[in-house]
Amino acid sequence: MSVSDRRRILGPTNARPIQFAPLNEDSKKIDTERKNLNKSVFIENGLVSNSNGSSYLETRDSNGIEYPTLLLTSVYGPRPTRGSFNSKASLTIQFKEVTAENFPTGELKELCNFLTNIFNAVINLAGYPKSGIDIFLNLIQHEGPSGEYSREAILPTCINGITLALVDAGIEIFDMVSAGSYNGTVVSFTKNGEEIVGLWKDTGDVEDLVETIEKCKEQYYQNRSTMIKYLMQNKK
Amino acid sequence: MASSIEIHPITFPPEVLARIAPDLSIQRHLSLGVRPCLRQFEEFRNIEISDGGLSRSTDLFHNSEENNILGSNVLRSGKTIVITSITGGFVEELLPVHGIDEGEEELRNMTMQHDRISQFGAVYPVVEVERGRMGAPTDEEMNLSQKIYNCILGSGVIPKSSLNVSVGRRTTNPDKSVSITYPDEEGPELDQQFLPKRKWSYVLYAKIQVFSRDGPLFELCWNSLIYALKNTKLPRAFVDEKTTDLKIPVRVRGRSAAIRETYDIICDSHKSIPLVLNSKNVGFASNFGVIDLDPEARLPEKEDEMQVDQEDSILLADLQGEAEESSVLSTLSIISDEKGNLKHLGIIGGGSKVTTETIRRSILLSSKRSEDLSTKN
Repeated sequence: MSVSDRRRILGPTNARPIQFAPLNEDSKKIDTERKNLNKSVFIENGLVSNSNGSSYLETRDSNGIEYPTLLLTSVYGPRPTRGSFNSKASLTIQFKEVTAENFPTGELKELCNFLTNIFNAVINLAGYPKSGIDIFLNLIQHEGPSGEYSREAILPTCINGITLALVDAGIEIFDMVSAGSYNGTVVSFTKNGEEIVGLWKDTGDVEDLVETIEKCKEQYYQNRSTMIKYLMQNKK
Repeated sequence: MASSIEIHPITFPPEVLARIAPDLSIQRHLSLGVRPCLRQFEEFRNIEISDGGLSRSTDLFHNSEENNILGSNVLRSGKTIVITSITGGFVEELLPVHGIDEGEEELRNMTMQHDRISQFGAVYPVVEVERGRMGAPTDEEMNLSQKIYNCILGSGVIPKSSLNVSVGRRTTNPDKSVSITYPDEEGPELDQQFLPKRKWSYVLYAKIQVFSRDGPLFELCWNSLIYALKNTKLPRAFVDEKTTDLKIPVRVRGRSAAIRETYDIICDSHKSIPLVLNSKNVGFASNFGVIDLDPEARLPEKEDEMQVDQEDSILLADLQGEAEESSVLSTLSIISDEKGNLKHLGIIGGGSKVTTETIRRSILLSSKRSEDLSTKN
């Protein structure tokens, strides 16, 4: 019996994916220098009409064109769960790459676990007994400045996206969460930067943890004020 | 003493009525001359398209070695968003060691002429509709993928010849510089014996993601895929010079030895050629529904109003929304080009009578729609 996926049309079995020849080294170097530039962001809520709440974030370099990260987040719930009684809502977060698939499944699993931990602490789960809240992150496009696909580059956008989608869905959260990333470290804050709800460390060396946290906090303030500004402008 | 019971009529806002009694909601609307979505009967939704800047051929990408999207489209129709991205692969054709002899070639061509489908290339689509659940693909997703696959192959949008790879070769010159030459760029002077003796063709995959589903999806997915194919650029591919003549005989299940690929075919990061479509076979899709008017659902007419004779059944273009989808059961799905040449015609007669007149009318409308859609770019 063949074990191939018969629910999808997969094409010829002997096909192999396209491989591109490496680019010249010089064109890469220029790009890594621009890694820590300011970002500009575009926000729109409520794009996915059949979800309870959704947000669309477009993060680009400050010139507005390069290195885009496009993320569409939708929240379904709180909706009834089957089975035994739960006094708290159960939260699931799924991450999907809508176009090109660049991250291995295992890495995405870790990313989802990290995000679930953050939002378990932030959503008022006790306010929604017997319910499930399902969050779907759809990464439409991502290109890191170094040409690599790194999770720490998209993590702050994911956290911002989920926060905005939860607000759009009207689900109670204790505070606006946001995050900043610096040198491969992502720190997520609430309560005006006084509480850390998540710390992600993957690659790179951290010489001074306090300095890293301070850098991340700066970005947190920036992200949070952008989100609040958007929400105040567009309140119904 | 009997107390009188007062009965209050319950009223619902339109969106609630559409949910609990879709057939009543749609009949009431139709009797007023509009549809629940407030469109005219034969009015289509406007669509907005862009390539979304997703593919590697857009200028936005600098490190395009990582991006393997060859063509893309983002289509918005009402609230529905369809994102299509096209990726590719290679498949090597197994050739006999000594080449195909003339007689065999002739025989192959003769059989090919009768086999229409074998002249066309396919796209392997995977449709995903976001519905807030995980798990295996739904019936709708599987049906959509299969129908798109069949229609692309059957309508002959992509000629097989445009999927053939014209393989270049990478040469390392004596001064250690590397140059890549392609057979069609260099002209006939290129020594034939240096050309690779193996044959590859491109395989195209389409990933179609739908958000905010609101009505039938086949037409939206099809149109998005056609737009994406129109801006698809196939990267040029080459092999290393030292591998062009490499032959490794491999036994394939008792048949004669064939050559199997050992060295990878690599794509050029800079050069690409547009995918050549069979433009006379390119058509756009539109859908229609036929619904019988229920005279009882009509609102009572005022006396001074003239009695207008309404037709018994109505043709609705571009179905949208829950009410229309659940109560309009007779549907037509048409792919045609602007001249009215049909590429696909599906009619489901569910309940209402689909007359020849209706079919004729919808074909006319679909060619008008196709004319409109083909001007968008």
